[in-house]
Amino acid sequence: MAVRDVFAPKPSKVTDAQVDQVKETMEHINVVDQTIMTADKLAGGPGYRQELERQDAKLSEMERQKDEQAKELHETQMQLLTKELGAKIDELKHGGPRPIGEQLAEIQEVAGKLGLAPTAPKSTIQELGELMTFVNSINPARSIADQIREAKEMIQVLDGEKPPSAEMPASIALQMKQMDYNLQIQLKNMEDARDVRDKEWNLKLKQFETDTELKRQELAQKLAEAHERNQMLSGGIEKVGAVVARGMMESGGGAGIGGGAEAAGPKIASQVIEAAMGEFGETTCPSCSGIIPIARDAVKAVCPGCSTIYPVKRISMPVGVEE
Amino acid sequence: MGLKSELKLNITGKGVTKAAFKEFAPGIFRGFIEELVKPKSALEVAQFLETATIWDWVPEGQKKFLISYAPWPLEWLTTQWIIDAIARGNKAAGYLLITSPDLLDRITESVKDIKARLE
Repeated sequence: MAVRDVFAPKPSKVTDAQVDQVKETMEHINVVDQTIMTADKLAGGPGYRQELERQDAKLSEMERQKDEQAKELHETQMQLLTKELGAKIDELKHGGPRPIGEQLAEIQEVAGKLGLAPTAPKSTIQELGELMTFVNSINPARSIADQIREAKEMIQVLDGEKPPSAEMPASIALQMKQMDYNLQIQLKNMEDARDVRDKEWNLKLKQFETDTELKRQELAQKLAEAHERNQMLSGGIEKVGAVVARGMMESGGGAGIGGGAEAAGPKIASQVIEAAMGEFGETTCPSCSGIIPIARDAVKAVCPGCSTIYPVKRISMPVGVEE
Repeated sequence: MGLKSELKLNITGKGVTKAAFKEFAPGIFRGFIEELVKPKSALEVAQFLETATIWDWVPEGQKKFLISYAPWPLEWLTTQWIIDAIARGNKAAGYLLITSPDLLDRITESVKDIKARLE
């Protein structure tokens, strides 16, 4: 067996499969390189920003040119339409063969195309259109100048600047009479409403007077009651004493208790009963040892036994001291 | 036939007219006021007046009777009349009432209340 020289390079044999594998590897390396370069650009590598700015400026220039072209086109269209509008207005002024309403509709259409309709006061255009339509409907056979003059005259008459003329068309005179009639009706309605308001006001006034009178009567009644109560407080004791005495005489019992005192009239004691504010209760009479009831708001007390009247002095109790 | 029906029959049987009942009205009122205040102390009467009206004193049966015969002529029913009636039944209570403005007001309100119900 031959001995192989171990120092000699080992013979190599490249197969097709190995070549394909190398090619595939190289393609993969190229793809990776491209990816890395793209990543560098995205990361803002050198020169990339300038390129973006150039493209941006180019786009801006293109947009500016586009705007200029659009503006020029719009101006051209506006000039054409303005000319068309002027022609229509001239035609209207000089009295064309077509009806005014038709011409006005065309003017409004052109004005709408020019974009004047939204910015211009819409009500004015509508009012003008309505006025012209109205004038046109009165007498389409007459000239525009006559119709406009009639319309102006009608406006002056309606504004009160000029009296109605005898030459005014019958339709306008009729309409004015109708307006005058409507005005009269409105004035009548206003007058009726004022009468109703006056009646309501008078009714309220009467009601107020009635309420005031009722309150006055109520107040007088309260005053009379208060007067009666005061009289009762001042002279009631004697009266009740007499009633009690009469009752006792009728019943025949208890006549001995203070009977003599009642006959001689009640006597006022010199001794004063002291009680706290709002205090009520009973105490013993020093004269007859009877029970004297004292009311919560009483300023005097009467002994039912001997009819002696005791003044009650209300004193304020010290804080914390109870009855 | 119940007891109430019998009682009613007996009363009508005696021929007691409505006008006669009204003549007896002051006596009826005075009677039950006197009977009511007689057993009470003056302070009890005062406390009762502070918490209720005189109409509340009237028993339910008598209330129905009085209302059934309304309207009553009650010009005689005054504060003074009530005080007199109470004093007849309870002398101390009578003295207590006339010395208290608040209790006099309560009686006046009671008079108005009764008149509003029965007149």
